[in-house]
Amino acid sequence: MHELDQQVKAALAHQGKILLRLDVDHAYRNYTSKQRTKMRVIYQVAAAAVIVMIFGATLFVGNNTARTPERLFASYYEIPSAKVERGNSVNHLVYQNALIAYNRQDYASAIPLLQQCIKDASMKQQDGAWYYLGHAYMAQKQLTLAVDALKKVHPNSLLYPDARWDMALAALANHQKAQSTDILKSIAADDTHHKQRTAQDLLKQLGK
Amino acid sequence: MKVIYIEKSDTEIAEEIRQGGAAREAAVRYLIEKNIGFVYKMHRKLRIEESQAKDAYLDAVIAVMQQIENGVYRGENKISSYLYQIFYFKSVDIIRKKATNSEDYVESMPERADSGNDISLDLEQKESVRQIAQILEKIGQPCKQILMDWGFWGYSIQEIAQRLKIDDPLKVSRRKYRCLEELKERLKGIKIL
Repeated sequence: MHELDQQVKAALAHQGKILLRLDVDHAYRNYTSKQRTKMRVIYQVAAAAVIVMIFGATLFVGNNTARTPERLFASYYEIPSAKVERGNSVNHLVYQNALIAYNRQDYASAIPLLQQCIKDASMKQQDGAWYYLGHAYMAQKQLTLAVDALKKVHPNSLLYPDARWDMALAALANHQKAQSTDILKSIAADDTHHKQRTAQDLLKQLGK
Repeated sequence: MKVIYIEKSDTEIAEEIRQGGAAREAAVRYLIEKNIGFVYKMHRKLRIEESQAKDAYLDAVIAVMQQIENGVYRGENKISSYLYQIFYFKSVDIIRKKATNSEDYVESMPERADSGNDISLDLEQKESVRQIAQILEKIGQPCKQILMDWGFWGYSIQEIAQRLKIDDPLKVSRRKYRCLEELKERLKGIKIL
């Protein structure tokens, strides 16, 4: 009989185990479901963080690259090449040499030659000299001098519209935003100016 | 419906398990629920099947319950750590069994004592337990519940009466006696005795 009692107890333990196994299954189901929910939340938060980071990075890049005065200057500015005309006068030769050096991008040599031409009142191409001197300064990142040089181009000169546009860009790159905006607005309002649309576009990018 | 578990200290759990009955049942269920994360962890850590991990976990819970009852567990470690240790070794056993199931070719058989009788005895006992379990299923309620509550969970007769909503505990006592008699009769019928 004692053996039977043991066997009954063992059988009851077996039954108990079956019942507890149902509890284990139930608890495990709840646990894995919670884990899945937790992981889903983690993935969602991670995905949201990635999206925010991408968005933030885009905004950052947008704000700090494309719309900076330097980037705008770089995207709009094109250095013009000079047309060298052959002549016989000494002044003309200096001017020719200056433009040759300028076209070779040898701005260090071009600048004193252009200054020499400007000092000589008899030199006819004063506007051209100021204009290319301005661009040579711009190439040398001497933006204040560039603006000053471009200002000297006479309004009657054929180079004047270009000089104004380039002056606006030089002022912009030199963080003289108000001055640049004023010039750009006048270009944007000028129906005869070949850079009218470009000026309007640039003003939009500047939020003006 | 969300079940809210009140945190229990190790002393409370041990006390409730020793107390038996409803307290033991609640403590064991609490233990299972509280540490179920071990199954998930072990399943991933040792790469054992989920069902095997669950079986090993349940065996570990029962072992902890028995060791608390017998006084083997003296509260030197946290119950959860104790449970984890047992569960870990049981899981490792599963892996070992799996590994030893692979065939090994040997030139000579190792010398071993003849354990033929023990094996047949063990098988006989297992068969008896299986048959009793079958009879318990056939007897049905409330016999099964009375015997389980009394024999497995250790409920008192008064507690069983309360659970079955029977006013007189004597009726439960008599019912339990009849259930055991019926169990023995049925066992005689299949010539176990």
